[in-house]
Amino acid sequence: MLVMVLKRLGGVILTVWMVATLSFFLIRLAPGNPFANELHSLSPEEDAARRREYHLDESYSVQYGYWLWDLCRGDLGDSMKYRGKTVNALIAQTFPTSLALGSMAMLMALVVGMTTGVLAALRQNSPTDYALMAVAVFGISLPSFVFAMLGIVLFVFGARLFPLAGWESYRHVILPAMALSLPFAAKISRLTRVGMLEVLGEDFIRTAYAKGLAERHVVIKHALRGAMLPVISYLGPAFALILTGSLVIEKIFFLPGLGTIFVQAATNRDYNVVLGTVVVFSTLLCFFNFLVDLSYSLLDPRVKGSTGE
Amino acid sequence: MIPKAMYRNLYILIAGGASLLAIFLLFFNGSARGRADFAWVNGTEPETLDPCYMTGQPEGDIATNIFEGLTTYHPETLEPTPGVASSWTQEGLIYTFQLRPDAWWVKGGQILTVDGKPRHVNAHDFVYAWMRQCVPESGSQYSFLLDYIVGVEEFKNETKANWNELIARRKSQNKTPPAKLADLDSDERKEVEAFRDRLWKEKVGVRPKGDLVLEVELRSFVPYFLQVTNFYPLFPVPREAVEAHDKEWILPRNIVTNGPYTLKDWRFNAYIRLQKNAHYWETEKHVAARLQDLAHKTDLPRRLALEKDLLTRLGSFEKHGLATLDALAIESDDTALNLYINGDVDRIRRIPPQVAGELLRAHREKPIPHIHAATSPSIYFYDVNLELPIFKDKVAGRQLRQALALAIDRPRLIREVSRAEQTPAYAMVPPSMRGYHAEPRFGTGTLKGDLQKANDLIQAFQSAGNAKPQLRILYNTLEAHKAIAAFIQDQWKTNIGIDAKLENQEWQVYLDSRRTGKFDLARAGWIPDYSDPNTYLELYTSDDLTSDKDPSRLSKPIVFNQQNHSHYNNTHYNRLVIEYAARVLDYLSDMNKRDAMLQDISSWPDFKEAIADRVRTNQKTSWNELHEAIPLYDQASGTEAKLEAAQRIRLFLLEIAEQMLMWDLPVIPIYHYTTSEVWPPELDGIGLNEREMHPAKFLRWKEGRRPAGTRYDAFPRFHSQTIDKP
Amino acid sequence: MSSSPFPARFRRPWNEHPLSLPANVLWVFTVLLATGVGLLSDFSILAWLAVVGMTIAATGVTWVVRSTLDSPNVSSKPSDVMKGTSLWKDALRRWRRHQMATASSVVLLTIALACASQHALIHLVPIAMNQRTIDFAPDSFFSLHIDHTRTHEGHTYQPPSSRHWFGTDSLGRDLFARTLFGGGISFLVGLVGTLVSVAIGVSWGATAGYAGGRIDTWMMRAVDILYGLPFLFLVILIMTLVNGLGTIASKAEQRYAEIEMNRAQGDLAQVAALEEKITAEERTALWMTRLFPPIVVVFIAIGLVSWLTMARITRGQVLSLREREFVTAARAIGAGPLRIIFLHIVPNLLGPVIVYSTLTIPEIMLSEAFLSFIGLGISEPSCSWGTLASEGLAGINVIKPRWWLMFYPAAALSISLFCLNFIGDGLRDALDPKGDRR
Repeated sequence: MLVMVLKRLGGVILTVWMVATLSFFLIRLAPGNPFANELHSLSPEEDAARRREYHLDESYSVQYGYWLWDLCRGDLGDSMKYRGKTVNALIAQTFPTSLALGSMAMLMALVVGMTTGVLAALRQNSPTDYALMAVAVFGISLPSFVFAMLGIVLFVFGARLFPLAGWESYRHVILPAMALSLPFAAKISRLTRVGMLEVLGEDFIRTAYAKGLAERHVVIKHALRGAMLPVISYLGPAFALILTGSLVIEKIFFLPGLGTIFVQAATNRDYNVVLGTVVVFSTLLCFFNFLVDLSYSLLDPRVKGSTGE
Repeated sequence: MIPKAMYRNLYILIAGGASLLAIFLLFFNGSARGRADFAWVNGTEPETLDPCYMTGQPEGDIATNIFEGLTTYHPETLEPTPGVASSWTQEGLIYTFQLRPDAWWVKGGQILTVDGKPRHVNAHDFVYAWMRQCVPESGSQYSFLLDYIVGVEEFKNETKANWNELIARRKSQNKTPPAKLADLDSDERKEVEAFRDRLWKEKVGVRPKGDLVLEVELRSFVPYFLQVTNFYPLFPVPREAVEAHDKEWILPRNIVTNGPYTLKDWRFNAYIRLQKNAHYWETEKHVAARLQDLAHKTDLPRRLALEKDLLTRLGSFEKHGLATLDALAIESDDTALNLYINGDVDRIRRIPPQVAGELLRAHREKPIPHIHAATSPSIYFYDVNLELPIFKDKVAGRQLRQALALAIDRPRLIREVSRAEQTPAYAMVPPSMRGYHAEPRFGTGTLKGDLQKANDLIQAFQSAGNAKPQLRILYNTLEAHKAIAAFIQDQWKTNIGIDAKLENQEWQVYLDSRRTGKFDLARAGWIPDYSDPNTYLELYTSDDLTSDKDPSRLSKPIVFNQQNHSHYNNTHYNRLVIEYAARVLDYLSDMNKRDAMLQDISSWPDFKEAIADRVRTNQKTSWNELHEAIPLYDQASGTEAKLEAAQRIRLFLLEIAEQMLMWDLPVIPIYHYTTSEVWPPELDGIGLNEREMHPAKFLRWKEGRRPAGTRYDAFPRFHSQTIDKP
Repeated sequence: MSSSPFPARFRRPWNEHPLSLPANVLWVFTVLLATGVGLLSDFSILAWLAVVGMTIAATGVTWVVRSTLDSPNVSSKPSDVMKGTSLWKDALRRWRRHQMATASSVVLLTIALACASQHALIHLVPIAMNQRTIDFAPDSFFSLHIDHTRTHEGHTYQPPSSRHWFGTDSLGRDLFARTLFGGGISFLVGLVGTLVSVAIGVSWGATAGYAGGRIDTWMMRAVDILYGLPFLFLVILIMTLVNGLGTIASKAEQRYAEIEMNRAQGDLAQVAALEEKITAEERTALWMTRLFPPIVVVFIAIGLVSWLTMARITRGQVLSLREREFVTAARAIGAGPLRIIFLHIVPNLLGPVIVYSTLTIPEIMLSEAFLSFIGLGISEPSCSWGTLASEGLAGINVIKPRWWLMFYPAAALSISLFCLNFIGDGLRDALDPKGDRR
């Protein structure tokens, strides 16, 4: 067990390193100057001075070395566009926002998805089932920005219940989290339903009912595990998709999150910020996948090792 | 009872959900901070708050509130009102600023103390800040504003040479070339600093006389210099903070400011919160004393009258100024408007173009009190490449250009293509420059009235033996420019039978092409840096002042103004703008020079047709008005009165220059943009001005506090289904 | 409520009832109409009456379906069950019974055909007319409804009308034409991206599954590691790189065009001077974008996002297929591993692969829409549904909501994804009968 955990952690570090290295070269290859844009450009001396400051005049491997060394000490560097701000400071302000948004979206998705999925499975082929599954297909098909737009028109301009933009009180969280979570709620709903039906179709369930056990008991003790397995194996990719979906939601609701910083930095060629955000995101993602795998193996003792099917 | 173990799955689920909830609650960092007294949408996230390095409006709007220069903008007229300088005098080209002793540097809400003594802004801070702009390693974008001052250009050149020498020396010693002063060894650094201090003292006309007096000597007559002192590149900078923290001195924990507000909180990509500076100099006591001073004087000069009016109307900052401000970093104009209507912000910079047309039209019919619209001084125009062979024949070329300029139906262009209620431009200088008589310089304002004239000009062009050319219109790749170019292409084809081809290039290439003259006509735009016609007119100058009298001048290369892509080279024009208007005091004080100047102006070949015979809307010609203004200068007594009279004459000289420009048409003006700012009618201490500068120091809520509720009812709604009739 | 002795889960599926399709469609339209009417108070009483009428109709049909669900008369022809069939004919029969899937495929085909014909017309018409650019009159059918680049000055921001069926955008471009063009791009990215994804995933998974042992472990460990990569971020970086190269390349192209012009005019000195100015960076960018035009990079990059699950599924299938008798037999007669993989195993993979592909296409289209929405995907002058949706976002304001800018592209995207999901469901039912009742 411990060995597996250590192996997995090693995998995490390896993945993060791979991502970081790849991004390092990708962003440096992209043409464009981190210090200048259409509106103003620097004189050659100033440009040279800035480059020296950020080691940009050295070879790629030397720059990489500097960056890796700083990374090991926890220093993600300085922003090239926002002078005076360190990447650590920027991430410290924006990362909690994205994480809070993502976790609330995931929570909503799980709660809504699993309850509807269980409900639909228990009442298979009834109108409830079909209605819920129809809504679920809608949920999977509509992109989250469509939900966001509908939400804004209905609840911000229409009912004036929620604020339009910003990240201040809990009220600011509801609409973005809902918009972000709906596609995942739909998917989880379908997965739960499928998983549950699979378990419910087995013989021992019929035996349990025959023995006279209450539906609730049967569901909670046996069927639920069947429902949870596919959901848990979906959680990993879902989390990744929530992170990328948050880029769009952050843009629509102007949330000061990590995704927006990443997109801006990529456009501005702000190397350090790009690398910092990529490292943070991939660490988060890998770590989450690691946790999911752990819980999967806890849940289903038949599964062992890394390539569970 | 069912044993607990059987609920294991449920527990796992609940545990999972609870941990997610815990993560959410733990990491939720919403900035619930209560509403500010005033919030505005500031645009993109500011790159920096260092006045020396900032270039954009978002940064400037914050800097104008947390720092203060020698003077501050009057909220409505942009004229200088006392800032760090409590008063100033002007003797010829020398300004003397009297600094006040209670303009404190504030850190973290408390007055900064250095060596136990409270630190106020002194003359040396200005020297430090301005020198910082001029040194080669600064990378400042606005240092050209200081070029008006005696000796600054030499200072820049010599420090640059010195710095390069240092770099070469270090290279030869195999040491890394330095990026800034801090990179140098301590003795190298001392040497460089001593050199610069000495050079500044010797050459540059910025001289501190003690702590509280600053003397500034200009190179030429720059009546708008006091507007430049309001502008953030010339703000003082706290030396101690900059040297202690380098790049990081602008962070809220390090920053030292002297303005009416302090930097309370800076949340990246979200907001910047400013807090009232409790130690700001404009206290009740100060205002009372000042009003008492001014009460005894009758017939105050304009500057003091404005100051008195402001103080009486708005009261003191200490008692009546707003306590907290929020600047939101939201880039989208549409969202900004939505936020405004929802009541979340109190000021936005512009109406999004997609609703601008309708709103401004509705506003024109029935004014919406929240909208404040006026013609902006920014102008959209086409540069004409005068080096083309068809323009070799000066007269014929000029006729062609005039025809091209007349044959565009600008009102229709604005109505159908650009659709944001812009103003058609038949001149370069917009009507908002105080004291300047701006009016259309060609055309009647309608295509119908101009069509005949345009065709006559083409006839004249052709009868001189010239063939109708095919022209290329160059623009940078943006759909909006393409639409305008397509319209103009169509207009020229239909109205005067001239063919034009459209050519678009990506931004960098387009800039290159304009700079190197690889174009026939190029789309261009200009935003003025200060409120004076010179900002437009100096663009078309060159350094050729003598070639009409001394042809040998043409054998040397002509250096055109950086923006003079048309290569317009009119020696009369150059002399008018660079010599006569800039040194008008010299020319007025010496009778001989004055006569020579007038003689020279009237010797321009097209003088009669373009200037002397051109009667303006006030039934006078500029030439006549100039002649009327000159004796007024002679009669004026007192420095201030003489300067005002000189400025009037200068403005007439510039007007004559503009008339020359609009006769020769090296550029074809198309339209002036419209400024349309939005703020609530309950807000006082704010006024529409062409720089869109609204220092928060003067803002007051008329009812004493911010109006609650939303503004949905104040704006007309437009039926989605109506088909817009152009 | 019909009093059927069967518990709900053992009843005949709803989807096989012939009236289920009209019922579904009616409900969908009712909901959409109600939302539309609710959102825009511009609609008239007629619209409200329509909503009420449709609700009644939908309820009625549903009631009919529910009550006749178990009656033996209403079912597919029983005689089919008796005939001998093959695997594929079986699948086809099951597919046809799944009404939503068949209806979805019709709808999807219509949309796809419309988009494809717009693309075809745009590219073929100038060729047919022997011109480099299209020069139609501004009011012709082509300019109004097919040409997506044509700006109709004076008709900017028009709501839908008989002249512009979907309205126009900020520059006066017809939204119908733009939606079709964007759809073509979106579908193209989806299809090619899926192909790339399938190609890589199947080869990887099949090789790993068949080889077994250490190779399998390491290949799958690689997949595990790659699972942790935030792929979309890497795609964003790749797109930034590609777009940046594209800008430089267009700069270089313009310089070359200038050189050509000067050469034609015989100004050789100028030609030399200009050639000097072209930097190495520009030259590299030019041949790189010629080799990998940005759109191709989009295909490949996006395909790279989704091949992992395909690899896992394939490997799983191959692992179970490997032990089957026909493989042992093939090995016994001396067939080499490659032959076994491609001639025996891959055909049996087709089922799950097809199913999964149909589910990958919407995933990829969604990823592309996201990228374009944040501005890092397809760039001007091309457009996709994602870019159109982001333009629509700007149209949402309190004063004059330009609802059509958002509605039509979003509706087109949603309907296509919706149909693709149903088709995927139907295919899964058809090709994988053991996983019944999903």
